[in-house]
Amino acid sequence: MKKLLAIAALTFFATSAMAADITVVNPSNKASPASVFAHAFEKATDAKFYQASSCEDAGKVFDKTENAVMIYNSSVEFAARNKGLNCSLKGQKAEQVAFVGQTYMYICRLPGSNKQFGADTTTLGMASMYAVPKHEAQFKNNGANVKIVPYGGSKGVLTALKAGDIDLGWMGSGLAKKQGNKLDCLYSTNPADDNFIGKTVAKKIPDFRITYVVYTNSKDPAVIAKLKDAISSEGFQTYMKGSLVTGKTDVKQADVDAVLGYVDLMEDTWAK
Amino acid sequence: MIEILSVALAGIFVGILTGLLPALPVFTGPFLLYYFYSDLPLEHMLVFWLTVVSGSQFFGSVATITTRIPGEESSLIYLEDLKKFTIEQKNKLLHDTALGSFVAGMLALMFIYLFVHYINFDVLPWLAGMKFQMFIYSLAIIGFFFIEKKFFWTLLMIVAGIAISPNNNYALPEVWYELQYLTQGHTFYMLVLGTLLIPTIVFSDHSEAKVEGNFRATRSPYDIWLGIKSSVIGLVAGLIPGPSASIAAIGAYRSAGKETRKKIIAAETANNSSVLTSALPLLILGIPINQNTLIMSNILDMRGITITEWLLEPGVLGMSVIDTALLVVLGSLVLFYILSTNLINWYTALIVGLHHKMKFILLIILSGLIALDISSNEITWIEYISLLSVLTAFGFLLKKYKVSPLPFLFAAILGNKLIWLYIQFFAINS
Repeated sequence: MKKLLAIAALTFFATSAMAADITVVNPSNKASPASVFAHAFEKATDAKFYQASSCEDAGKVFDKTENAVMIYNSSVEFAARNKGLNCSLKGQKAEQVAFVGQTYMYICRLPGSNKQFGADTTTLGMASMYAVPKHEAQFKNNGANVKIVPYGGSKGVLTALKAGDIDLGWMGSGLAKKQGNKLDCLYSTNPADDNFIGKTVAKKIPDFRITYVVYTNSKDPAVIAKLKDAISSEGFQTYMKGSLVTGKTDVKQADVDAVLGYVDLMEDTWAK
Repeated sequence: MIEILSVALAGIFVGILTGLLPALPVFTGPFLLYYFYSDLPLEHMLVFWLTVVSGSQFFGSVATITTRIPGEESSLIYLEDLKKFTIEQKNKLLHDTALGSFVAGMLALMFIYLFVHYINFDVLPWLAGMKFQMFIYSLAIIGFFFIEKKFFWTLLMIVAGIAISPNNNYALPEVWYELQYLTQGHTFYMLVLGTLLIPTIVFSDHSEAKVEGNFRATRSPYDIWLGIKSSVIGLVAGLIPGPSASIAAIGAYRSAGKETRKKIIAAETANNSSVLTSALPLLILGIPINQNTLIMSNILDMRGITITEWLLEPGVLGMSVIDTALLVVLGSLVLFYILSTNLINWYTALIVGLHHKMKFILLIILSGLIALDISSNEITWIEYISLLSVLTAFGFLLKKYKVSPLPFLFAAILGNKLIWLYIQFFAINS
């Protein structure tokens, strides 16, 4: 019995001693660009990392963990709304938000491929939350006869594209850019790009993007300042540049509301 | 340079302990990485992992031959044969099994080098294709029906594993996640702990171990063809999903003729090459095929590392990540050979000494790991203990009915990927 008590005490103290300052909570799929963002932020803040199994799991952990930082992304909230789950940014105050940013998507094929949006059926791989019947129908209504194939995230789409499973891949622009000449990217969802998809396929949301919001449950100004410093750090800025992520740390309530407005638009357009 | 050598030395130490102590499973290495992974670059993780699994096989034979306490499962095949051996014969066996392990390890490293450089995803992209992966994953899971030979239990294990495996898959119906709510917060370590480790420790036989006589590895004429043949059996067996080291040992043992000495050497040679080549499907395809690679795959997932993309990237020694790792593991094999043919009496004293206190030592180790698991997964004590209790009860039930939890653990890891593949196959072909 004494031995068991000693073990219990050892376990308790080991756990207590390991409390860390900041815990980054990631509600996104491991294969999504948002998870790459979350890991880069974890590194920049030297924080603990929690990979949630779902957005509700992430919410639970965020609520009960001291100095937790949520790496929110608009795609997760959109998917949650589709499933009737509550993972909304609604009610979030700008004072506790360290960053609002976004990254756009590229639509690519393998070099030498002649696959294209048009009358012929093409398979288009994309993240599962957007691989919904309404999205496919809107492509078809605009002259692009696509069959959408769901994947966990951009990495899965890229692998499938390289393996020849799909004709076209809808993936994070940062990941696509890193492939160099191994991919032929036909379109971008960034309106500033020459190959902006809105010029070819008249989709309702041509400027599709993943919007990131980094917020904390801490009200301590030092913690919020630490998060903003991490965003401005050289390492994180290098990641942002390489991954084509843009954004700002001087966040106003209107910026947070705009993210919610964007999710509302996606829900109105694509939700089941 | 110093860092990677330190990691190799740590791997050698853990590998020796894993081999000598029967209660430490062959996947101890990946388990330790699971908790201390955050700062290690990929080549360091590969060095530690491959060094530990090699060491477990080198020193597993030392433990078995000297004390007849099997250091690892793959030694069970020849346990009874050892009763016929004198001390002198065992001394020769100690040397020949160490040499066989060294030969097998070298050949396995060469095999891995050739495969990674010449048969990989970039050269043959269809290896990562949906149909090929569906075939491999389905085979890995269906294979359990033939290995376990308990159809309904195996089916139950696989269904349970698949049920808890998906995460963040928005193509699945909501009801799936409503069912998963019951197991929300589980960790992979918790699954292994409850269904495998705790029942194994509680039911393990800790009767007193005895060692008679002094041991000293003695050189004798070595049959190089037996070494090569057994290594090749191990290389191939390593690619078969499941307990590859045991399959390799049994295969080599049965194909080594009638002489018992040669059969033991063959078994101890083959298991070494198999534990290394079982890493190959993970390295070149990202597909885990046994407990070791399952845990490594999980670690890589948590780190967001796509291993197939990183192996040929530059590593710390100016070579690629995989070449650096293989070179350092090669050095570890040389050290393992030297260490496993010397200080034998010291090892036997350690095995017997620790064997008496094994349950207490293991309880301390397990408690520490549970504390780490709770800390790193943001789960409360009550939730953790509740889930672990249910899983442990399940593990005891399996132990009582002599059912292996491996199909459950495999399905829990592979299930997510398998479900994705079938959804994609249906979407493309519907």
